[in-house]
Amino acid sequence: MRLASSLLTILVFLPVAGAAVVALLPRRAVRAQKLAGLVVTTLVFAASLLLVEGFKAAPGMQFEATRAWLPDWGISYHVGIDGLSLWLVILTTFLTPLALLGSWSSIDRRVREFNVFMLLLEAGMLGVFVALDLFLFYIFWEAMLIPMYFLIGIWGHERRIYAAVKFFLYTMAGSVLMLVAFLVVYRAAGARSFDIAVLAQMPVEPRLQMWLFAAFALAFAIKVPMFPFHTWLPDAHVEAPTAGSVLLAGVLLKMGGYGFLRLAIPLFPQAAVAFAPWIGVLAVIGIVYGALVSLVQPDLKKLVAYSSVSHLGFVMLGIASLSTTAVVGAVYQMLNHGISTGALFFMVGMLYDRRHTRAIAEFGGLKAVMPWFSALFLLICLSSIAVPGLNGFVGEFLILIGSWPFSRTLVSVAALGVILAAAYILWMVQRVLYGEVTQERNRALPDLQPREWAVLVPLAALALFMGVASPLFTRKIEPAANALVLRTQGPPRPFAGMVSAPGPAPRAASARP
Amino acid sequence: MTGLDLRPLVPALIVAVTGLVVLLAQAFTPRGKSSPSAPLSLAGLLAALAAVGIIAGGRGRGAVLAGTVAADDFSLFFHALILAIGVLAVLLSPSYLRATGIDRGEYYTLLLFSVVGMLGLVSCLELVSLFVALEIMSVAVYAMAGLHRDRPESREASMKYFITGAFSSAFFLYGVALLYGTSGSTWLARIAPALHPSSGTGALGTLGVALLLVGFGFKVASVPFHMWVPDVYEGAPTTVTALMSAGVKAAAFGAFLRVFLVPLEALSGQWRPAVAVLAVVTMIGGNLGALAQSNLKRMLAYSSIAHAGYLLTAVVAAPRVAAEAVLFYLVAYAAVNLGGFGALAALANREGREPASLDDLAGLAERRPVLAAALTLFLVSLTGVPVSAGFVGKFYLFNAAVSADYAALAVVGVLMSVVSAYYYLRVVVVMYMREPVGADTWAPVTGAARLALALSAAVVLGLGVYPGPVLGWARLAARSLR
Repeated sequence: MRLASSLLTILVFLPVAGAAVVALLPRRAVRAQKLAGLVVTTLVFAASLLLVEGFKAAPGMQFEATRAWLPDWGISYHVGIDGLSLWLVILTTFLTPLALLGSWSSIDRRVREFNVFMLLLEAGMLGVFVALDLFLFYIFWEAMLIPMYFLIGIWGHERRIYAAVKFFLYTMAGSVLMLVAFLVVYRAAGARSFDIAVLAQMPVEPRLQMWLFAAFALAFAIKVPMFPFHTWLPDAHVEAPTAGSVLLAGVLLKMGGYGFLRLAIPLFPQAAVAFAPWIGVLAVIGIVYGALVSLVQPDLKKLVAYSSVSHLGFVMLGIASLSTTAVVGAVYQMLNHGISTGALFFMVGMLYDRRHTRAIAEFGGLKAVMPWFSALFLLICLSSIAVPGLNGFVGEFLILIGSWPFSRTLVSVAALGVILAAAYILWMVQRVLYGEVTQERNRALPDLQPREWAVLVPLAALALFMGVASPLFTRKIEPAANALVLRTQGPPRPFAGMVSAPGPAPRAASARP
Repeated sequence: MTGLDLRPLVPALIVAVTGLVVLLAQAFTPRGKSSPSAPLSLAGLLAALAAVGIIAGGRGRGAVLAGTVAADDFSLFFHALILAIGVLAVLLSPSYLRATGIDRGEYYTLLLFSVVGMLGLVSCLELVSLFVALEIMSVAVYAMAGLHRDRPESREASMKYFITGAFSSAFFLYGVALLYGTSGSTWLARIAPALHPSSGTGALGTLGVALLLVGFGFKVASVPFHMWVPDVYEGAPTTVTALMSAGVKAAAFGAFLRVFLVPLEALSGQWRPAVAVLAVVTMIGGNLGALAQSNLKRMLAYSSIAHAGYLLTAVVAAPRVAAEAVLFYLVAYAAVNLGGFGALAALANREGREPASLDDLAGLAERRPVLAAALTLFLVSLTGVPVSAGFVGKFYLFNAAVSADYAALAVVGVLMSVVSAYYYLRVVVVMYMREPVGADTWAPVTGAARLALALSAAVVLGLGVYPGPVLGWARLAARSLR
């Protein structure tokens, strides 16, 4: 089983090696640089499929590897994945090559740097999802900011520098307090270890837990982003180039939710229970607020950006409810959001490439001009508003069902968010796709190019597939989610009567009586 | 050990003799020809570095000269660090000196003499010798700061540094006198028991320690003793600024740790809170000051103040923990500063102009991609973002503060790091996200400077990924503090 234990390491460092190779290519060899980036990320994706192949639906870490790194401090290179991280790793390796392919022709200057930063970003993202040592986690968590900062700042739109600096400062401000919290945990636990599993065994005094959880939660809440820490997101998403927006929305936003699941809740279970209602309330405010703001956006990219605030509100509601069903739903919803919002950003980028505008008012009647584009756009929009049969439905349904015992009020308000989502998305679809062609210039817009087909078809297919074959995915998420939930409460009780979700809702322990 | 064992002094002697040789070589070189000052200095420093290696591997490393000069691991660590700083500073110098027209032998002589002072500063166990070493270092640097004789700001730097430096020396000396008055000795080992609270030395001893703290506060550039730093760093020749920010700071911190941590531990209940306050105001003052700067060297000067603050946060910890953290950070910080100032110096062109304002670096990433990448790495390290030596270093410093239950210091430290990200990133923005303006007038980065920058970058990156060995040495060195 040598491959099994080194697979994750290979996944993380293959992009780094790729980045080094691309950096050494001659400046003129633009095509080679693009190809190298695409080949490396595709290889990483192919290798990551081995994870799915070998992953057993059981709690606990798999594909683990441990190596002493700074033994004096109890810091080790410790990686591994469980059901919470498996699909997020796959999502990352899946979206990165698509992002490179999607920006094949729209990135035309400093291509070499672009590919280097994309590869480093992929390494950082994968590192965050596989790290099982706080120090290692923090290294990837922070290091990832730098390539993203450059991606926004160099290849972004008009206000790119402002957006890049805001993104960096905002995220760093959140995470540095978490760093101090790491050090305090280390001292409080007295285990001389930064290993998450070791620290999770060490009981931390409840009062201290509250402070530490708050420090962690701030870092993750900014990353999610939860209302009211979301103000960096519209700027960063809108100003980033398409590839940046896709990875920002598709992967980086997942790290907040993942951070709660991997660190904040297991390390401070009592504090998590105490804070859960507040997180739930903020999550639901985010759902409604994000939806309302999306309704009034005149800019396509801004609309998609604010819809992320709303969608991730669902994720956070699921996490806050601390029930297995809802946590599985939250993880699933993170994947869905990565796929549907990623695809939406790609498509907005395709419109932008054609017209150099993102204003909704500039479009109209595209259905007649770009039929194939319109069909896929509609499909993805429907997946984004959780129409049954598509992926979004499964996630939101599991979250709402699972959170019902947690708080009926919150779930009821959140359900309102589902309706609002339908409103802002469908209204946007109506204005962009249907009606008369309002602008003469739009009559000549070409439909999807082969390269664009190659980007969109996998995403659309996955949206469909994850809508009908959800058990394939949830089965692997569930044991880890269950183990997490058990940490926060007493002995499990059978969870009866809630098996009507498309794809059986996981057999699970209920959240609260 | 009886008799005259000079082995621990060999590195300093080699450097001092090299300084004299460089001076003489200059005198005997015919007019119009340039003397091989740089290679000679380099050879001397490398020989001294080799001597440190030999001493580290050998026996008989106690204190010599009647207990005045220590050759413990702490000294050896600092000797290696200071000599390495000297080597990099010499490598950076020739192209800069030629470009700005101050390519004279005395530059190297002064540089070597200042290194001698630094070497002494970190290994003296007796306060008067320590003072002598401090002055050897300082006087050489005062002179070096004014080497741009035709530039008013350079003369101002020299004068200002000299006056404030002399002033701070007076504080230091007064502190030494008071300690001598209370304990009857200037040997650290004998001062320690006399200062123990049970021995009833009272206010006089405390006052002496406070004055020493002021003296060191000047040298490490801590707020409120920092007023000289921006002007001196800006006015001095850039390579001298690099040496000051890396070497002088390292040596001053070395002596500070040597004097305060173990010998004055009995009074730590009094000086630790004071150091904590200094750390907080220094971090805040340095970072807020840097925010307002548009001149690169001034910005880096304030950043150097801020970093003194970060370093001070660790000093409140238990002696060994504090020393370990500070030692590691000094290595990281030296590499970063030599790299940062070195990059600016390497761009100095034939007209003697060097990048001064932020705008001078506009579009550097397109014209000098490798240099811009290296400078970005240094700035990232200064910010304390992984993967860089600065991150590991700050992690270590703040860990020390937290371990002493001064978590508040760590909180101020990390929040101020976020503030610092703003002004460091501004440089990156200018280099990468602005178009170049006008013709490319900066000099190409040449052989020796390129090597120095590559070495600095390698250290910054290497310590960020694999800090193990240096951490181990820092730990050994910290253990040898008595």
